[in-house]
Amino acid sequence: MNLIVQRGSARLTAREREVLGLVAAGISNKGIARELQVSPNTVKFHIAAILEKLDAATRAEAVVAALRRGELTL
Amino acid sequence: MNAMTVLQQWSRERSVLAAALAPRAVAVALGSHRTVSGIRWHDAFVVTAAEALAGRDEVMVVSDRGETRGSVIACDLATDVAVLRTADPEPYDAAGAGPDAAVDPTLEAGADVIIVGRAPAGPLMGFGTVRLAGPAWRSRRGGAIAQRLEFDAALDGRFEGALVADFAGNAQAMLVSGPRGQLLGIPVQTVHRIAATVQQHGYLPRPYLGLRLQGLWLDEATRSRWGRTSRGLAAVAGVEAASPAEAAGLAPGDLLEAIDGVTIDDVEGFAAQLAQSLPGSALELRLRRGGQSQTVQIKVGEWRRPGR
Repeated sequence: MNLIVQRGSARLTAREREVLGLVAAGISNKGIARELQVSPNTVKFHIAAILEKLDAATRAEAVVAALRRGELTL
Repeated sequence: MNAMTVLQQWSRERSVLAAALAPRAVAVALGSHRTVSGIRWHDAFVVTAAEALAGRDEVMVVSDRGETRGSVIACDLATDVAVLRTADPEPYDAAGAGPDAAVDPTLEAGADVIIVGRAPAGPLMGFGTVRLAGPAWRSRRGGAIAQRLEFDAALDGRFEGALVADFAGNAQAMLVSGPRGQLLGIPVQTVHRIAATVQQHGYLPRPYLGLRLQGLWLDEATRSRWGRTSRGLAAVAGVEAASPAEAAGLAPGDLLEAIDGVTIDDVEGFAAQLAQSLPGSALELRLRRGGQSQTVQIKVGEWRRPGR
Protein backbone atom coordinates (compact mmCIF):
# COMPACT_ATOMS: atom_id res chain seq x y z
CA MET A 1 0.00 0.00 0.00
CA ASN A 2 1.26 3.44 -0.85
CA LEU A 3 0.86 6.29 1.54
CA ILE A 4 0.48 9.49 -0.39
CA VAL A 5 0.50 12.84 1.34
CA GLN A 6 -1.99 14.91 -0.57
CA ARG A 7 -0.83 18.35 -1.64
CA GLY A 8 -2.56 21.04 0.34
CA SER A 9 -3.58 18.78 3.20
CA ALA A 10 -0.60 18.73 5.59
CA ARG A 11 -0.59 21.00 8.60
CA LEU A 12 2.00 23.73 8.91
CA THR A 13 4.63 23.42 11.60
CA ALA A 14 4.84 26.12 14.28
CA ARG A 15 7.91 27.53 12.50
CA GLU A 16 6.13 27.62 9.16
CA ARG A 17 3.19 29.44 10.73
CA GLU A 18 5.63 31.95 12.16
CA VAL A 19 7.28 32.47 8.76
CA LEU A 20 3.95 32.81 6.97
CA GLY A 21 2.73 35.31 9.56
CA LEU A 22 5.70 37.51 8.69
CA VAL A 23 5.19 36.97 4.93
CA ALA A 24 1.55 38.05 5.38
CA ALA A 25 2.74 41.25 7.05
CA GLY A 26 4.89 42.04 4.02
CA ILE A 27 8.25 41.41 5.71
CA SER A 28 11.07 40.59 3.26
CA ASN A 29 12.96 37.28 3.29
CA LYS A 30 15.96 39.04 4.83
CA GLY A 31 13.74 40.68 7.46
CA ILE A 32 12.25 37.29 8.33
CA ALA A 33 15.74 35.78 8.49
CA ARG A 34 16.85 38.50 10.93
CA GLU A 35 13.70 38.08 12.99
CA LEU A 36 14.08 34.32 13.33
CA GLN A 37 17.90 34.38 13.39
CA VAL A 38 18.24 31.97 10.49
CA SER A 39 19.75 32.39 7.02
CA PRO A 40 17.72 33.83 4.11
CA ASN A 41 18.09 30.45 2.40
CA THR A 42 16.39 28.76 5.35
CA VAL A 43 13.54 31.25 4.98
CA LYS A 44 13.23 30.44 1.27
CA PHE A 45 13.25 26.74 2.16
CA HIS A 46 10.39 27.27 4.66
CA ILE A 47 8.42 29.30 2.12
CA ALA A 48 8.80 26.58 -0.53
CA ALA A 49 7.55 24.00 1.99
CA ILE A 50 4.61 26.24 2.93
CA LEU A 51 3.58 26.73 -0.73
CA GLU A 52 3.75 22.96 -1.23
CA LYS A 53 1.71 22.15 1.86
CA LEU A 54 -0.95 24.73 1.08
CA ASP A 55 -0.97 23.91 -2.64
CA ALA A 56 -0.36 27.59 -3.39
CA ALA A 57 1.36 29.09 -6.43
CA THR A 58 2.07 32.45 -4.84
CA ARG A 59 2.74 33.91 -1.41
CA ALA A 60 -0.61 35.68 -1.45
CA GLU A 61 -2.43 32.41 -2.16
CA ALA A 62 -0.58 30.72 0.70
CA VAL A 63 -1.62 33.49 3.08
CA VAL A 64 -5.27 33.20 2.04
CA ALA A 65 -5.19 29.38 2.31
CA ALA A 66 -3.67 29.55 5.80
CA LEU A 67 -6.19 32.19 6.92
CA ARG A 68 -9.00 29.94 5.76
CA ARG A 69 -7.62 27.03 7.72
CA GLY A 70 -7.36 29.13 10.86
CA GLU A 71 -3.56 28.91 10.88
CA LEU A 72 -2.91 32.67 10.85
CA THR A 73 -3.93 35.35 13.29
CA LEU A 74 -5.60 38.55 12.09
CA MET B 1 3.70 66.59 -50.20
CA ASN B 2 1.11 63.99 -49.48
CA ALA B 3 -1.20 64.44 -46.54
CA MET B 4 -0.83 61.75 -43.89
CA THR B 5 -3.18 58.83 -44.22
CA VAL B 6 -5.50 58.07 -41.35
CA LEU B 7 -3.31 55.09 -40.46
CA GLN B 8 -0.15 57.18 -40.40
CA GLN B 9 -1.89 59.76 -38.27
CA TRP B 10 -3.10 57.02 -35.92
CA SER B 11 0.38 55.57 -35.61
CA ARG B 12 1.90 59.01 -35.05
CA GLU B 13 -0.56 59.80 -32.25
CA ARG B 14 0.16 56.51 -30.54
CA SER B 15 3.89 57.23 -30.49
CA VAL B 16 3.29 60.75 -29.18
CA LEU B 17 1.20 59.31 -26.36
CA ALA B 18 3.86 56.67 -25.66
CA ALA B 19 6.63 59.27 -25.53
CA ALA B 20 4.63 61.44 -23.11
CA LEU B 21 4.03 58.55 -20.72
CA ALA B 22 7.44 56.86 -20.96
CA PRO B 23 9.07 58.88 -18.14
CA ARG B 24 6.53 57.52 -15.63
CA ALA B 25 7.67 53.93 -15.99
CA VAL B 26 10.74 52.34 -14.43
CA ALA B 27 12.36 48.93 -14.72
CA VAL B 28 12.73 47.01 -11.48
CA ALA B 29 15.64 44.58 -11.67
CA LEU B 30 15.12 41.33 -9.76
CA GLY B 31 18.51 39.70 -10.10
CA SER B 32 20.68 39.46 -13.16
CA HIS B 33 18.15 38.49 -15.82
CA ARG B 34 14.64 39.22 -14.70
CA THR B 35 13.03 42.63 -14.63
CA VAL B 36 9.51 43.85 -14.06
CA SER B 37 8.13 47.36 -14.39
CA GLY B 38 7.10 49.96 -11.88
CA ILE B 39 5.40 53.37 -11.85
CA ARG B 40 6.89 56.58 -10.50
CA TRP B 41 4.15 57.60 -8.14
CA HIS B 42 5.15 60.66 -6.19
CA ASP B 43 8.41 62.13 -4.88
CA ALA B 44 10.99 59.35 -4.77
CA PHE B 45 8.31 56.64 -4.46
CA VAL B 46 7.76 53.94 -7.06
CA VAL B 47 4.96 51.34 -7.01
CA THR B 48 5.27 47.86 -8.46
CA ALA B 49 3.71 44.40 -8.19
CA ALA B 50 4.23 42.97 -4.69
CA GLU B 51 4.26 39.28 -5.61
CA ALA B 52 6.95 39.79 -8.26
CA LEU B 53 9.41 41.00 -5.60
CA ALA B 54 9.34 37.51 -4.02
CA GLY B 55 10.44 38.76 -0.61
CA ARG B 56 13.27 41.05 -1.78
CA ASP B 57 13.93 44.22 0.16
CA GLU B 58 16.44 45.88 -2.17
CA VAL B 59 16.18 46.19 -5.96
CA MET B 60 17.75 48.28 -8.69
CA VAL B 61 15.41 50.76 -10.34
CA VAL B 62 16.13 52.01 -13.86
CA SER B 63 14.34 55.10 -15.11
CA ASP B 64 14.91 57.43 -18.04
CA ARG B 65 17.37 59.27 -15.81
CA GLY B 66 19.54 56.32 -14.93
CA GLU B 67 19.85 53.66 -12.31
CA THR B 68 19.19 54.02 -8.57
CA ARG B 69 18.77 51.73 -5.62
CA GLY B 70 15.21 51.06 -4.47
CA SER B 71 14.24 49.93 -0.96
CA VAL B 72 10.99 48.06 -0.52
CA ILE B 73 9.14 49.94 2.20
CA ALA B 74 5.73 48.29 1.87
CA CYS B 75 4.59 45.05 0.34
CA ASP B 76 0.87 44.38 0.43
CA LEU B 77 0.28 40.89 -0.93
CA ALA B 78 -3.50 41.20 -0.74
CA THR B 79 -3.73 44.05 -3.25
CA ASP B 80 -0.39 43.15 -4.95
CA VAL B 81 0.86 46.71 -4.40
CA ALA B 82 4.45 47.26 -3.27
CA VAL B 83 5.94 50.68 -2.58
CA LEU B 84 9.66 51.35 -3.12
CA ARG B 85 11.66 54.37 -2.11
CA THR B 86 14.34 55.21 -4.61
CA ALA B 87 17.49 57.24 -4.17
CA ASP B 88 16.34 59.45 -7.06
CA PRO B 89 17.34 62.96 -5.99
CA GLU B 90 14.80 64.64 -8.23
CA PRO B 91 11.32 64.21 -6.73
CA TYR B 92 8.63 63.18 -9.13
CA ASP B 93 5.56 65.35 -9.23
CA ALA B 94 2.46 63.46 -10.27
CA ALA B 95 0.28 66.57 -10.20
CA GLY B 96 -1.60 66.71 -13.43
CA ALA B 97 -0.32 63.27 -14.38
CA GLY B 98 -3.35 61.55 -12.96
CA PRO B 99 -2.89 59.19 -10.03
CA ASP B 100 -3.38 61.58 -7.16
CA ALA B 101 -6.21 63.38 -8.85
CA ALA B 102 -8.14 60.39 -10.19
CA VAL B 103 -11.04 59.44 -7.96
CA ASP B 104 -13.56 57.61 -10.08
CA PRO B 105 -12.86 54.61 -12.27
CA THR B 106 -13.36 55.74 -15.82
CA LEU B 107 -12.38 52.72 -17.91
CA GLU B 108 -15.14 50.86 -19.66
CA ALA B 109 -15.14 47.50 -21.39
CA GLY B 110 -13.96 47.82 -24.97
CA ALA B 111 -11.87 50.94 -24.38
CA ASP B 112 -8.32 51.02 -25.75
CA VAL B 113 -5.46 51.39 -23.31
CA ILE B 114 -1.73 51.93 -23.56
CA ILE B 115 0.49 49.87 -21.27
CA VAL B 116 3.72 51.56 -20.32
CA GLY B 117 6.60 49.66 -18.76
CA ARG B 118 10.36 49.77 -18.94
CA ALA B 119 13.19 47.37 -19.54
CA PRO B 120 16.78 48.33 -18.72
CA ALA B 121 17.29 48.86 -22.48
CA GLY B 122 14.44 51.34 -22.81
CA PRO B 123 10.70 51.97 -22.58
CA LEU B 124 8.28 49.09 -23.21
CA MET B 125 4.99 49.92 -24.88
CA GLY B 126 1.96 47.77 -25.42
CA PHE B 127 -1.58 48.41 -26.52
CA GLY B 128 -4.63 46.54 -25.38
CA THR B 129 -8.34 46.58 -24.76
CA VAL B 130 -10.34 46.60 -21.55
CA ARG B 131 -11.83 43.11 -21.58
CA LEU B 132 -13.83 43.59 -18.40
CA ALA B 133 -14.57 46.61 -16.25
CA GLY B 134 -16.62 45.48 -13.27
CA PRO B 135 -17.53 46.86 -9.87
CA ALA B 136 -15.31 46.81 -6.76
CA TRP B 137 -14.26 43.28 -5.90
CA ARG B 138 -12.25 41.13 -3.59
CA SER B 139 -9.40 39.41 -5.39
CA ARG B 140 -8.43 35.77 -4.86
CA ARG B 141 -5.50 37.21 -2.98
CA GLY B 142 -7.93 38.58 -0.39
CA GLY B 143 -7.53 42.26 -1.27
CA ALA B 144 -10.28 44.86 -1.57
CA ILE B 145 -9.88 46.35 -5.08
CA ALA B 146 -11.77 49.46 -6.16
CA GLN B 147 -12.73 48.12 -9.58
CA ARG B 148 -12.35 44.82 -11.40
CA LEU B 149 -10.26 45.41 -14.53
CA GLU B 150 -9.13 42.78 -17.02
CA PHE B 151 -7.21 43.51 -20.19
CA ASP B 152 -6.67 41.86 -23.51
CA ALA B 153 -3.12 42.46 -24.70
CA ALA B 154 -0.04 40.57 -25.84
CA LEU B 155 2.53 41.31 -23.15
CA ASP B 156 5.44 39.50 -21.52
CA GLY B 157 6.48 39.32 -17.86
CA ARG B 158 8.48 42.54 -18.07
CA PHE B 159 5.18 44.45 -18.10
CA GLU B 160 4.22 43.22 -14.62
CA GLY B 161 3.77 46.40 -12.56
CA ALA B 162 3.43 48.61 -15.67
CA LEU B 163 1.22 51.66 -15.98
CA VAL B 164 -2.12 51.29 -17.77
CA ALA B 165 -3.34 54.61 -19.15
CA ASP B 166 -6.27 55.67 -21.28
CA PHE B 167 -5.78 57.37 -24.65
CA ALA B 168 -6.06 60.77 -23.00
CA GLY B 169 -2.87 59.87 -21.11
CA ASN B 170 -4.56 59.48 -17.71
CA ALA B 171 -3.12 56.84 -15.40
CA GLN B 172 -5.81 54.25 -14.74
CA ALA B 173 -4.23 51.16 -13.23
CA MET B 174 -1.16 49.10 -12.49
CA LEU B 175 -0.91 45.91 -14.52
CA VAL B 176 -0.49 42.64 -12.58
CA SER B 177 -0.84 39.02 -13.55
CA GLY B 178 -3.79 37.11 -12.19
CA PRO B 179 -4.59 33.41 -12.09
CA ARG B 180 -4.34 31.50 -15.39
CA GLY B 181 -2.34 34.24 -17.05
CA GLN B 182 -5.08 36.86 -16.81
CA LEU B 183 -3.97 40.46 -17.12
CA LEU B 184 -5.52 42.36 -14.25
CA GLY B 185 -5.44 46.03 -13.39
CA ILE B 186 -5.13 47.36 -9.87
CA PRO B 187 -6.99 50.69 -10.23
CA VAL B 188 -5.14 53.87 -9.31
CA GLN B 189 -7.61 54.43 -6.45
CA THR B 190 -6.42 51.22 -4.77
CA VAL B 191 -2.74 51.92 -5.48
CA HIS B 192 -3.26 55.40 -4.09
CA ARG B 193 -4.89 54.05 -0.89
CA ILE B 194 -1.76 52.04 -0.17
CA ALA B 195 0.77 54.64 -1.40
CA ALA B 196 -0.83 57.51 0.53
CA THR B 197 -0.84 55.49 3.76
CA VAL B 198 2.82 54.66 3.24
CA GLN B 199 3.65 58.28 2.49
CA GLN B 200 1.87 59.43 5.62
CA HIS B 201 3.41 56.90 8.04
CA GLY B 202 6.67 55.99 6.34
CA TYR B 203 5.53 52.36 6.28
CA LEU B 204 2.29 50.43 5.91
CA PRO B 205 0.66 50.06 9.34
CA ARG B 206 -1.11 46.71 9.65
CA PRO B 207 -4.34 46.37 11.57
CA TYR B 208 -4.35 43.67 14.25
CA LEU B 209 -7.18 42.17 16.29
CA GLY B 210 -5.65 38.96 17.65
CA LEU B 211 -8.28 36.68 16.11
CA ARG B 212 -7.91 33.31 14.51
CA LEU B 213 -10.90 32.50 12.33
CA GLN B 214 -12.32 29.58 10.41
CA GLY B 215 -15.05 29.60 7.80
CA LEU B 216 -18.39 27.93 8.42
CA TRP B 217 -21.08 26.99 5.94
CA LEU B 218 -24.67 27.40 7.03
CA ASP B 219 -27.51 25.17 5.86
CA GLU B 220 -30.59 26.75 4.41
CA ALA B 221 -32.70 26.28 7.53
CA THR B 222 -30.16 28.10 9.70
CA ARG B 223 -29.73 30.83 7.13
CA SER B 224 -33.43 31.53 6.98
CA ARG B 225 -33.74 31.35 10.78
CA TRP B 226 -30.95 33.92 11.11
CA GLY B 227 -32.17 36.00 8.21
CA ARG B 228 -28.90 35.66 6.28
CA THR B 229 -28.61 35.45 2.53
CA SER B 230 -24.92 34.55 2.34
CA ARG B 231 -24.00 30.91 2.79
CA GLY B 232 -21.02 31.31 5.04
CA LEU B 233 -19.59 33.28 7.91
CA ALA B 234 -16.40 33.38 9.95
CA ALA B 235 -16.18 31.60 13.30
CA VAL B 236 -13.74 32.64 16.00
CA ALA B 237 -11.32 29.73 16.54
CA GLY B 238 -8.92 31.50 18.86
CA VAL B 239 -8.29 34.80 20.65
CA GLU B 240 -4.77 35.94 21.54
CA ALA B 241 -4.02 37.05 25.07
CA ALA B 242 -3.86 40.82 25.65
CA SER B 243 -5.22 41.51 22.15
CA PRO B 244 -7.91 43.95 21.01
CA ALA B 245 -10.19 40.94 20.43
CA GLU B 246 -9.77 39.82 24.03
CA ALA B 247 -10.39 43.36 25.28
CA ALA B 248 -13.62 43.43 23.27
CA GLY B 249 -14.72 40.20 24.97
CA LEU B 250 -14.62 38.00 21.86
CA ALA B 251 -14.42 34.28 22.55
CA PRO B 252 -13.95 31.08 20.57
CA GLY B 253 -17.25 30.00 19.09
CA ASP B 254 -18.48 33.52 18.32
CA LEU B 255 -19.78 33.73 14.77
CA LEU B 256 -18.87 36.94 12.95
CA GLU B 257 -21.69 38.14 10.74
CA ALA B 258 -20.71 41.67 9.76
CA ILE B 259 -17.95 44.21 10.18
CA ASP B 260 -18.99 47.87 10.07
CA GLY B 261 -22.26 46.85 8.45
CA VAL B 262 -20.58 44.82 5.69
CA THR B 263 -21.73 41.20 5.68
CA ILE B 264 -18.95 38.66 6.13
CA ASP B 265 -19.25 35.40 4.21
CA ASP B 266 -15.84 33.95 4.88
CA VAL B 267 -12.49 34.48 6.54
CA GLU B 268 -10.97 36.24 3.52
CA GLY B 269 -13.90 38.64 3.44
CA PHE B 270 -13.24 39.53 7.05
CA ALA B 271 -9.52 39.94 6.35
CA ALA B 272 -10.13 42.15 3.29
CA GLN B 273 -12.50 44.38 5.25
CA LEU B 274 -10.11 44.60 8.21
CA ALA B 275 -7.19 45.45 5.91
CA GLN B 276 -8.96 48.65 4.90
CA SER B 277 -9.06 49.97 8.45
CA LEU B 278 -6.22 51.75 10.18
CA PRO B 279 -4.78 50.95 13.60
CA GLY B 280 -6.41 53.14 16.21
CA SER B 281 -9.80 53.18 14.51
CA ALA B 282 -12.86 51.42 15.93
CA LEU B 283 -14.88 48.74 14.19
CA GLU B 284 -18.36 47.51 14.91
CA LEU B 285 -18.62 43.74 14.80
CA ARG B 286 -21.97 42.00 14.60
CA LEU B 287 -21.68 38.55 16.02
CA ARG B 288 -23.85 35.65 17.03
CA ARG B 289 -23.24 34.04 20.38
CA GLY B 290 -25.49 31.32 21.77
CA GLY B 291 -27.90 31.89 18.91
CA GLN B 292 -28.32 35.58 19.77
CA SER B 293 -27.11 38.38 17.54
CA GLN B 294 -25.22 41.19 19.25
CA THR B 295 -22.89 44.06 18.40
CA VAL B 296 -19.51 44.81 19.91
CA GLN B 297 -17.08 47.67 19.37
CA ILE B 298 -13.48 46.70 18.84
CA LYS B 299 -10.50 49.02 18.73
CA VAL B 300 -8.11 48.08 15.95
CA GLY B 301 -4.57 47.50 17.19
CA GLU B 302 -1.38 47.62 15.20
CA TRP B 303 0.46 44.48 14.17
CA ARG B 304 4.00 44.41 15.51
CA ARG B 305 6.84 42.16 14.63
CA PRO B 306 7.31 39.65 17.43
CA GLY B 307 9.55 40.96 20.17
CA ARG B 308 9.00 44.64 19.38
